[in-house]
Amino acid sequence: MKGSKSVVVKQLPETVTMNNVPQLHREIASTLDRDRPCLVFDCSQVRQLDSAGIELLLTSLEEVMKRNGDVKLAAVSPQVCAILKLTRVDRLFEMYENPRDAAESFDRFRIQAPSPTTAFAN
Amino acid sequence: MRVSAILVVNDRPKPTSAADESGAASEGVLSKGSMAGAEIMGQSVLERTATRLLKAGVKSVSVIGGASILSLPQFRDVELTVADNSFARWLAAQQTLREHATRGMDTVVMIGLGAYLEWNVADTLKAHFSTGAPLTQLEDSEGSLDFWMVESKWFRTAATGCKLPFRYGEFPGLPMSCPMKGYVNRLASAHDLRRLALDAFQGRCELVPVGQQVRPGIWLDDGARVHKLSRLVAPVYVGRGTTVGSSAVITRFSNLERNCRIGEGTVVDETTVLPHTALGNGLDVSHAVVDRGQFADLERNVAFQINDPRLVSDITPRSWRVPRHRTFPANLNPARNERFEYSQYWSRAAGRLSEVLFKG
Repeated sequence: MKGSKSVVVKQLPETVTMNNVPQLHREIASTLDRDRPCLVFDCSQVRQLDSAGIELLLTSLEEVMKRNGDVKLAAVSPQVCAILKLTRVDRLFEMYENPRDAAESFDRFRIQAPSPTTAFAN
Repeated sequence: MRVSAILVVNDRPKPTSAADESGAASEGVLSKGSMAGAEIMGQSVLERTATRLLKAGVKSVSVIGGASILSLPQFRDVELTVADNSFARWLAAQQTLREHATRGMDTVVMIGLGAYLEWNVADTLKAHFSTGAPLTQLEDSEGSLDFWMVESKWFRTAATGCKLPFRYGEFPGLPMSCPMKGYVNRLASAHDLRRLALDAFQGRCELVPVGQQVRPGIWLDDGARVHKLSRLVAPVYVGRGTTVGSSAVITRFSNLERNCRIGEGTVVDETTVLPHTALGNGLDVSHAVVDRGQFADLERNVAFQINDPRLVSDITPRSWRVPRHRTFPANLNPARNERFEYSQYWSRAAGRLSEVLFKG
């Protein structure tokens, strides 16, 4: 994992499924335990995400919220975005084009790259 | 050069046929009144316009509209006139324009409030003066805007009988066009209202949420209460006195205006919730504009009334302190003691405006 002083960026592997979610959970446990944890999941490599993967995201969110922190997603592919939308989990996370933007967003407001999914086009 | 302003709050025209009604379904929201009164990010278009004028040094501002204008915060140097319908309002505007002329105002900015405009007062007036015409009208790429600048002396002499709003051709070559420089949102529909919120969040206009940015992209106004178990996903605006219940999710590009109540477990996604609206528990509100019982679904382009208070309800407070105002036409010549006293501010206004116009 890499990060600035307070924001931790965790790159997720190509598959985030029930086979490796427990391991991933152990890897981020120390981050989740901090005060006001700021966690970014770098999803640039993720090609497969199942319900266990969704649960990893939700559990992480629950843990960081307890400690007044936040978790954000970066570089989410269209396929993964579709799964997040299907499960309505997309609404719970801020998503950014890249991990740097996501990390910076903890300090200042940036317009998020994915446009609002408005019914009307500009 | 003394400049004053008259703001006429327009009601949007109601549909005249069934075809109109179905085609403009999503425009049915807010049909009770003008979008100028609708609050976006904590302030209405009316309030923002009045503030812009006052900050530019236009000290005398008259606002004419329906009863909704009485919710405008009490500004010094702003006179309110209540008139029931559009016809009466423009009659009142005609009289008010004559009054401004009598009081010594040289140029009057007259705005039919419906659209949200961002314009530089000084630059716009300079453009008006440069035409040499006594009456100019702003226009953008989509056509004319309900924004005129009129020389009061001309109005008192040559145009005294003309009906307002000014129409092209009533006087040869008038009004002259002035190009609009700045952001324009015509607020013709609920879609436009959402677009304005989006543009504000995305920094495409000057509109800034009122309140404090408690976290990057999360604005909370005074008295907003957000349950610790709720989730706010930036960018989001929560208005004054609004409460967000436990396990609620307020997500991307949503704005909850003043005095709203969001029920437990309700998700608000890319939605505008207008003032005094309560959403029940466990709802999923997405891509919509909600105004008390009126619901506009922007994805499906339908608008309808919801009468079930467990879903959506109107929580407008019953007690209401009515500010000083006059009515039209019941009170064509209001008693002197009902009016705001302007005289003490005029000389300061003239000096201040001169600074604004001729700085540098």
